[in-house]
Amino acid sequence: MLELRLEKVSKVYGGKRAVDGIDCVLSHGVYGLLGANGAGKTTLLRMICGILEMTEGRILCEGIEIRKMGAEYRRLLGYLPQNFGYYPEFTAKKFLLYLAALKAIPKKEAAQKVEELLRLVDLEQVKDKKIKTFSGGMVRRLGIAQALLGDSEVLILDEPTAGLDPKERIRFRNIISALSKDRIIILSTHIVSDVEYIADKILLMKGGKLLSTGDIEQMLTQVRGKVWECCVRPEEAETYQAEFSVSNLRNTEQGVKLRIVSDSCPLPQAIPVDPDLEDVYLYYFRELD
Amino acid sequence: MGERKIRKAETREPEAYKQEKIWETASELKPDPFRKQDSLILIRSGIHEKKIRNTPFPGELLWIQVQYITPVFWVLQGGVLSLLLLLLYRMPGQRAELTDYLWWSSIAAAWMGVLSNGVLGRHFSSRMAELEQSCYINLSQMWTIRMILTTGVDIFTLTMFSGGIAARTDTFFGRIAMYLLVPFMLSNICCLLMISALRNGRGKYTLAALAVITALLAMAPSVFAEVYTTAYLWVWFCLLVLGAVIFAGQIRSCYGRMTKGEMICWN
Repeated sequence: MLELRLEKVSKVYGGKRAVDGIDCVLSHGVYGLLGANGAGKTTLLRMICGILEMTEGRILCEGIEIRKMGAEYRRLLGYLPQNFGYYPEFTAKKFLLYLAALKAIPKKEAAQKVEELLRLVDLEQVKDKKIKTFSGGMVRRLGIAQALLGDSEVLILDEPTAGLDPKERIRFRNIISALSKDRIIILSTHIVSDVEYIADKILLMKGGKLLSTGDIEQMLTQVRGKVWECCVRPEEAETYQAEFSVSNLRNTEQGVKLRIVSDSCPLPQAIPVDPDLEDVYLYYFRELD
Repeated sequence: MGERKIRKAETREPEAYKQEKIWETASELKPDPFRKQDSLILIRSGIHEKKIRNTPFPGELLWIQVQYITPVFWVLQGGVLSLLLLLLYRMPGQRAELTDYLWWSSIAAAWMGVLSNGVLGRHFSSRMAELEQSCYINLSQMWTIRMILTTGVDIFTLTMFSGGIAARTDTFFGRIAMYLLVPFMLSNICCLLMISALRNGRGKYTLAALAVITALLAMAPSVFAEVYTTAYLWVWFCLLVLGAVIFAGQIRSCYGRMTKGEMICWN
């Protein structure tokens, strides 16, 4: 089974440590990479892809440094960059065939795989249309399709669901879940619910460091007893919002219902409730806010 | 009969004799159908799981690039070539001066450089560089192939055209080639500088602006006709060598920055 080992991986940009000494081992499964903007997620993913040279540390694939593996490592990769671009005059089919050629997929196999992927991402009807006529969501789906070319054993998706409508997001989640067997999938996103549904493990990044790693249940356990709900008067809601980390606020007949993430009981009337992944996210990132 | 056969076998190498005996015995054995079935299933699943890796040949790599280079490039290159041919055949033979030919052909040489580099810059202007760098055939390799392809076409065209001018003006072929290679080199340097230095300046409008600037620069020597005399040949030679050194340095720097990711990962 494929294993990626990150050892003290760091990236320094002009004195600023964008990624700071990350150590972790990734084996098959879906990894959800969560973090605020500027946490270093994209930089880390680029280094895992071998696109960006790290300042310190090394990444090993099956015990061999990816830098030394070169093209053989890239053969294992499927990558969807955050800033996914395209050649506007290409049709969806031509675009996928082009990338299949770059991935050294034999022509016959590529033609079959491209048709299959176009069906999978619901672009079959527009496969001969130029990409420049596509909507943002369609371009993103095309991006997902190209990442799946070549049955990659390491799939790295940077913000794959950005710009997708809820139906498309569900479709994407199902595709990823079906693919998660026998491969490493790293998914970076801001949409916590995407990760909650499909990730086997969560990697929380903050300030270039890996804050916490574990499966969803372990993450939830960490904040169990730290999530509270209470009803307050509407005029008090704003004060409490400034005072505490409020993960949700809802107007009800009894007043404003607040969901607060706090180490101790924030208000006398607050009762502890079961946490969800958004509470975990807020618990770790509240200092930033 | 049988005795003779055994004796014959014994005279051979013992290992070969042993092998023959094994095959003889094996032919009489009947495999267990269940175990055979199990083994076949195992082999089939092994075949299914086996990943066949395709490694493209250099010729295939070249063909991939030829196929996917934008048609606009070929159309514009064709346009420049047609312009050169038109110029060569419309000029009134021996009556035309060398500078008459060089005026237009220097502009065409500069444009060829802009077009070739436009092909390289498209990876960046289309925001494809990051994705392409992660592929088996990565951006650095694509650059190499495309550079060989487009620069090869350009140098071949310029060489042929230099030959044409040389024949019509009774001038040494090498001298004409040098006059044309200098603006070609200059435009390559300008374009590569733009590709590597400017973040958003790799689009078609910047290329159009570069085409105008390099054309003006290429035209400039024609204003001073004496620079095309033999007295100034050493200046042209020095310019060509200097240009080649700068260009080689630029390419080296670009590849280094590409490998490190600096040229690809802007944000």
